[in-house]
Amino acid sequence: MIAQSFSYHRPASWDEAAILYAEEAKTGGTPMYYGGGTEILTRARLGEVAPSAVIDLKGIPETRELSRRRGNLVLGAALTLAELSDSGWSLLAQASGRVADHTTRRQITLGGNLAGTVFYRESALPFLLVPTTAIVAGRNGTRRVDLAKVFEEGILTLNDGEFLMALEVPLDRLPERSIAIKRTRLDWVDYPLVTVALAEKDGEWIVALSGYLDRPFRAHAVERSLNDGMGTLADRIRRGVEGLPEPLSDVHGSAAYRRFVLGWALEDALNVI
Amino acid sequence: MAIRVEEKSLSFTGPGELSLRVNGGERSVVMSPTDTLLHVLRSRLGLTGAKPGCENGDCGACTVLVDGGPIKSCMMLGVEAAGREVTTVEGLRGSEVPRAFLKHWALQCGYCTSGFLMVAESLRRTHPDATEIQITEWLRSNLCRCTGYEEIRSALSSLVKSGGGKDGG
Repeated sequence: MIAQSFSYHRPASWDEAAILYAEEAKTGGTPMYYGGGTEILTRARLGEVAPSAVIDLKGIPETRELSRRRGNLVLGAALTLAELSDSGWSLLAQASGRVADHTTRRQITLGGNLAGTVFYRESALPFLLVPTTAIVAGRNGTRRVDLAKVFEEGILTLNDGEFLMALEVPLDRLPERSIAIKRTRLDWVDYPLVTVALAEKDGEWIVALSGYLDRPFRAHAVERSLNDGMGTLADRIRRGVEGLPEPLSDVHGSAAYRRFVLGWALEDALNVI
Repeated sequence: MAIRVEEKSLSFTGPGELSLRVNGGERSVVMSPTDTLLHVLRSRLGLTGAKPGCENGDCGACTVLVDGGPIKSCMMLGVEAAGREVTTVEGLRGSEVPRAFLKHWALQCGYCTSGFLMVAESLRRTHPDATEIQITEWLRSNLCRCTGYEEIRSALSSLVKSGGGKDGG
């Protein structure tokens, strides 16, 4: 049961959504853009958020686009994680296909996963490995921006009133070979101790991680050691892991255990790929 | 009236009446924008088959079908179901799924059963050749605290052409 009240809006266009947000905010309200709703409803039930209005983005055609257009793979932000399995990008299907459970992935959206407060944001990992353009909408229109510039801290950070409408990835920049491997403490359905997204591009390994720190990130230290060709594979993995910042130490696993699991997952990923 | 519908846009600003399509019939229901679909089904429509468990999206006891696919109804607003086809366990009369669960003793206390039935119904409809891997993946969405998973798996396997075998589908 959600104790506080809010109004619900499902606009049919991005500009209508932006106007609704601006008008609600202008009158002192606290609007929130709404994708799958799983996080907002959970947090509202707990009293952690109290939106005065939710603006459901699923009625906006651009947020539901899944297409290949002008050499780009276009992914609407309101596509569900289940729908991403139809994107034809296996790395994205693998990384997002282990978030939550099968039923819940039919509700969680790509945009929600990138913008949510649950910091794992595993759907972001493939986009950290390829140049990605974010198409953002707001009261001043739409703008195209490198995702890296609005995802610098591992969470989507937009101007007030803006929302992510879609992501575009150049098809010719998708990696030739790639894999995502998730390791959890015990259950299959759980937050990750670590999720590794590994790809080979132009003969070099590129790596992004979730669960290791409190945000998804590009693991440049691991990439450098994997690509320098010095020592055995085990040596390169060990040096790469040692070059990363101190990992999380929490109820899911200690820092030492996370380091061990990351090395194991990297070895598995390299062997499988 | 608190509802404004403009073409495909919808604004629902306070308690009001909406039409939902549930179990094949149109149902007019008064709800609030903050009512979850679970609450609407149970408290407004008297369809108590969907169970409140964790109400946090974890247990799956509240699973219903929306447009034929499983959805945890505690994680969806009732208003979001407007214009979509909702099926609850009460809509499974005549389905072979409940019979398969009885045949395989796939229930103990029964609280989780309606959620599992809905997952099974959707899997059977959308993946009649489901493999063992698919069955496992779909079953992971729901919890049975009596831990009767093997019987539930047997019931699901009996509902797909492959029998849940590794080579099926």
